[in-house]
Formats: sequence, C-alpha cells, structure tokens
Amino acid sequence: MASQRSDDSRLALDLMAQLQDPQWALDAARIEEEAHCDISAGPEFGARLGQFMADPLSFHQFQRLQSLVLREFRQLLADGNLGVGADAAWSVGQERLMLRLKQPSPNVQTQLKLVLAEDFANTENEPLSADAQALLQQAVHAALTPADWNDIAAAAANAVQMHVKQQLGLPKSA
Amino acid sequence: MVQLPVSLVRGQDQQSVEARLLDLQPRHVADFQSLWQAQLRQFSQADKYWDWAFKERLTIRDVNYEGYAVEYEGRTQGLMMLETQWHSSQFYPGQRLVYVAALSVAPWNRLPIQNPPQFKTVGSALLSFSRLRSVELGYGGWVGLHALPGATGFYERKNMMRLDPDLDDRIDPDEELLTYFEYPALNR
Repeated sequence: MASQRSDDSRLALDLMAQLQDPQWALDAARIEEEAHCDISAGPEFGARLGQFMADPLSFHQFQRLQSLVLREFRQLLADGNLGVGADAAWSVGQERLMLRLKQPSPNVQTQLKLVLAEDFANTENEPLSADAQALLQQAVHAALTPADWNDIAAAAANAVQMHVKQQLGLPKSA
Repeated sequence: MVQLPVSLVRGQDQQSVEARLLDLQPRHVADFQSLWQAQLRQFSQADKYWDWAFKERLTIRDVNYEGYAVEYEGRTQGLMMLETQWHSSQFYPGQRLVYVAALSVAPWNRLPIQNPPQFKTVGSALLSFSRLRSVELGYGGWVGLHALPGATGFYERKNMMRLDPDLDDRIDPDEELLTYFEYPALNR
C-alpha cells in the first residue's frame, strides 16, 4: 500500500512536469494538428436536465442502477446461450426492465438498494461481491413479471424461427 | 487551490508559452459568456449552449464535481468539469475513474474555426490534468469521457479505448448517443 502511494506520488509529479514541458506541448500540438478537429467532450442532459439539477446524486445513482441491472440482464441472456434469439430477447427485456424499475416491488427495491450501496461504498476498485452479484441477479429475475419473461422467451423463439426459415428458404408464413 | 503552470503552443510561431491551470472561477464563466459564446453560435459548435454557470455552481455545491480553467494573459483558454466519485470503467466493471463531464476550449483555439489557432494544446493539457487528478485520487490514471460528434478523431489519436454507442443500450430516448473513450491506468 505504501509502495503504491509512493508510485502514485511519482506518477503525479511526472504528469505535473509533463504539463510544463515545452517538448511535450509540441508533441501534443502535433497530435491536435493531425486530428484537425474539435476536442470538446461531455454529454449534456437534454430533456433530463431538470432531473439532474434537482438532485444530481439521485440522478447518477439511478443511472448507475440502470447500468448495473442491464449489465446483469445481458449476462443472464449470454449465460442462457440464446444464439440468434439473444438480440430480440435483449430488446424486449431491456424495455420491460426499465419499465419495472420505475415502480419496483418493495422486495426488489430492498435488494437493489443493497447492491447500489455496496457499489457506491466500494472504493477499492473491486467488482461487486459474490453476494451482491447474486442479489442483483435475484432482483432482475424478480423485477420482471411472469408475463414479461414469457414475452422475452417468445421474442427469442420468434427470432430463431425466422432465422431457421430464412436459412432453409421456407415461406415466412409456413 | 489549484494553480499549475502549463505549457501551450502559440499557433502563429509554434513558440511555447506558460499558461496557468486554475480552479474554475466566476470570471472564467463570464469569459465563456462574453467572449466565447457568440463565436460558438456563429460556427454552430455543439457546445454553444453549455451552461458553465450551472457547472460552476455544481462544483461549489458538490464535492465530487471539480471545475478547472486554463488562463493566459487574463483570458480563459479552456474549461473542464470532472466528476470524481460516481463513474466507473465501461471496460473493467468496478474500476473507479475520473469522468470528464465537460471539456471545452475557446473558439480561437479550435482548428476548425481558426487556423492557425491562437494556442494549441489547451485541450490536451486539460485532458492530461484529468489523468493527474485520477492518479491523485488513487484511480491510477483511469479517465472516461464522451466525445462530442466532431471530436472523436482527437481522442482516437490520444490512444484512448473506444466504445461506440449501441442503440440498444439507450435507456432514454432523449439521451445523446456519443462515443465513449477511456484511458486505462498509467504504468506505475
């Protein structure tokens, strides 16, 4: 740990020196010339600006939660090995998950809050613990209703069916 | 209180000049409004409506937001806002990083608007400083950002990892689809 801190201090000093180095600036200027473009970065929030301004922390927490949930759902589909049906399942599932996250059941809320709390408390740059990962998986399962899962499965099955018909040259209505 | 000398390259004669990188202050926002904005509008720049006054308030209100400006001879040459606690890597889940929430350089320093620009490397210096903050915060140099549509070429040339937007990942129909770039850790 002490060694890492010492390495970081050295790196920070190197970067500070670099910023003042005219040779570094000339190299950086050459890269800018080669790119010959704007260098602006950063998203604006568009229609979501109001939400962001009202409460930036909650806004980011919800964004983060959406990202965690969607990543878990995508992993779930990958583990399910749905092949050509995966994209259709993802499309339907993603839409339903976002809908369900607007009003999750108290049980799902509790699970997601625990996952989010761990994610935000993690200052050691580590992935979620196995417990939190399992909780997230349960929450994704529970957030979607049986009808949602049926629709996801049907979308995947339809996509596979279409693919098979296309591959074998069968009529689409057969 | 940050006050760091940074080397810029004068576009006219390629000579290096020493500017200062400072904490974002009201005078920088005033420069954006009075000196930058008319030109940004005239040249239809994507950041023409950015609200730096709001960003400055955010950096005062929330500790996780930090604002910086590059200043030379009393004029604001570039602006940047960082978010330091809520973002993590898109490539390595769980890896915290410094997120460049906004980065913008003065219109007279933009090659597509003025060639040669008054000063080069303003954006490069700000980007490099974001890595410095990442190291100081214990994130090892990890930095993430979304490039505006006309700016992806620059970040590609800076050898950042690229993640193209996926239409399927759009959560909100109003969400802008921008290309994401990420710097990994610097070698310790």
